[in-house]
Amino acid sequence: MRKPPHLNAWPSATPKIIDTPTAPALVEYLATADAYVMAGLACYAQPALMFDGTSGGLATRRVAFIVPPYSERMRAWVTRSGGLVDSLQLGAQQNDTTISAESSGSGSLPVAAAEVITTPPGIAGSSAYLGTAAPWASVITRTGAEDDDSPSSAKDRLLEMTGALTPTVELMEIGAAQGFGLSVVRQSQDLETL
Amino acid sequence: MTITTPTAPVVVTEADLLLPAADANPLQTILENANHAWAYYAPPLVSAVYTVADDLTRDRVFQIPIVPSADGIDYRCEHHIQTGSGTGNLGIVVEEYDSGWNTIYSLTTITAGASTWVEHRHIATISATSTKLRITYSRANPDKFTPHSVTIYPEPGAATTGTQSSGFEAFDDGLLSAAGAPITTEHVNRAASNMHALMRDRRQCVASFVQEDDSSPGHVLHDVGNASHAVATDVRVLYGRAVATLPWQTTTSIDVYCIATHNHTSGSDLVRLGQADGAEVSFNADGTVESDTLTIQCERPGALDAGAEIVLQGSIPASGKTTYIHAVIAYWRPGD
Repeated sequence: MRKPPHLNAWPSATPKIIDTPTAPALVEYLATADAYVMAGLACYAQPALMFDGTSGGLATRRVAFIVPPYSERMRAWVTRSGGLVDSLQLGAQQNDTTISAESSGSGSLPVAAAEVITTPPGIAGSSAYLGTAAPWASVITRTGAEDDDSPSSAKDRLLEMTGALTPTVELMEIGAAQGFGLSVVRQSQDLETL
Repeated sequence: MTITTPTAPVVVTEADLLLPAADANPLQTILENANHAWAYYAPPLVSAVYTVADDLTRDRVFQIPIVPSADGIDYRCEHHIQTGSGTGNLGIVVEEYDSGWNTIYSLTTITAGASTWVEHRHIATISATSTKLRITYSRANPDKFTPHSVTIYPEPGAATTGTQSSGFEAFDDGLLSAAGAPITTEHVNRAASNMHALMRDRRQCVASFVQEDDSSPGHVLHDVGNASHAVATDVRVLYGRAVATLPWQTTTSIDVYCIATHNHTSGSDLVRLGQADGAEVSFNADGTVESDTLTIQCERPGALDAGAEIVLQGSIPASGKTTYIHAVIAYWRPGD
């Protein structure tokens, strides 16, 4: 025996799918399903990578990132502190952080010198990577917002991505940083063009 | 009766959606786009740059806590290694731990020239019950090398029939493509529910810090409390700061996992991961995989580049003692 369901067992007394089973309802449901799938496909967090990029031979690190679909431009968050390669006197300027990304260059590493993204450290000569460093001993800066995909020389600028309907693997080489994170700042506004 | 897994999603235009007839499309396209997601939705399970002594000949071993897919799928592993002098082959062994260690990938014949970068990519199947990975790098002769990073992301191949443990159920065009077939509510729902299942199942690495873990504490590049980093018991040593991006989020939570040890008889709250000017979670460094949940209040809330500054700190269990942070990793999934 199966008891008939009570009306209050339904989430709505008149479920929309029964109330409007005609074409406009289909549009709504289909658009919702499509939007959910297409939004989900690009739903990627970007990790906060913490590492020693200072000691000995660790001043240049390589790591692959997954760039979500529809991404056209990214910016990086760069953590800097003092260290062995930058053990300058107080007030002296450290080396720029450098970022080489495949999409910003020839499709593989190393990229042409002009394609290297350089970011000032925003910190002047300080102490070692760890030591008894307090939080103020490191600084996080964001890479530049200038959109220049054909630079004549290395500069602080947006990271250009290929912009695709599928995720891409982007190898990056990061010089002089102790932390690194990416964020997408511009997605394609017309998926039909990808 | 075909399960189609497109290599790229097919964009449904606004015109496609405008007053559609009761026909297979655009619904079939949307469902197949969800099948595409099964194969190509690939947020990294692990993304880590190793903090490790560089240019040595000895093996380097890392253990990383993981929360893999419930579907026991294949993952693509991408390693980047820098070689020193010599031309000895590189070796990589990847093991997973559930009730014991199981080798899921092993190769000791990776060609490596002198003083160059080596990229090695491979597939490894990670079981749903695994709680951590152990990755061992070696080099023949032995010659010197530096392991730099590993990125591990889903690559399960084409969608297959049946309901997966994640809740994903691949769309088969059999019912929808038959002449005069009904368009059922289940079909409309399945596209979104499949995408939802994948987003909830495939956790995304949002923070990491990894050092060696081979039963030799001296191999840990940066510990807390040795001669060069001696500190008082109440001092928190900054281990890392970096920014994670959690697109479109305002308030969310991440699950934090930690493997750390110390050389004292007891210790508590020795490793802390938190948001700058926000909440934090702490771990006892007892050698096991410890976990906790951290609430994140995003900066730039609701924006494409919403995110948070993550801070990792360590402290010692007692005066003259040492804490070793081997791995801290955090995972997010949409909806948390």
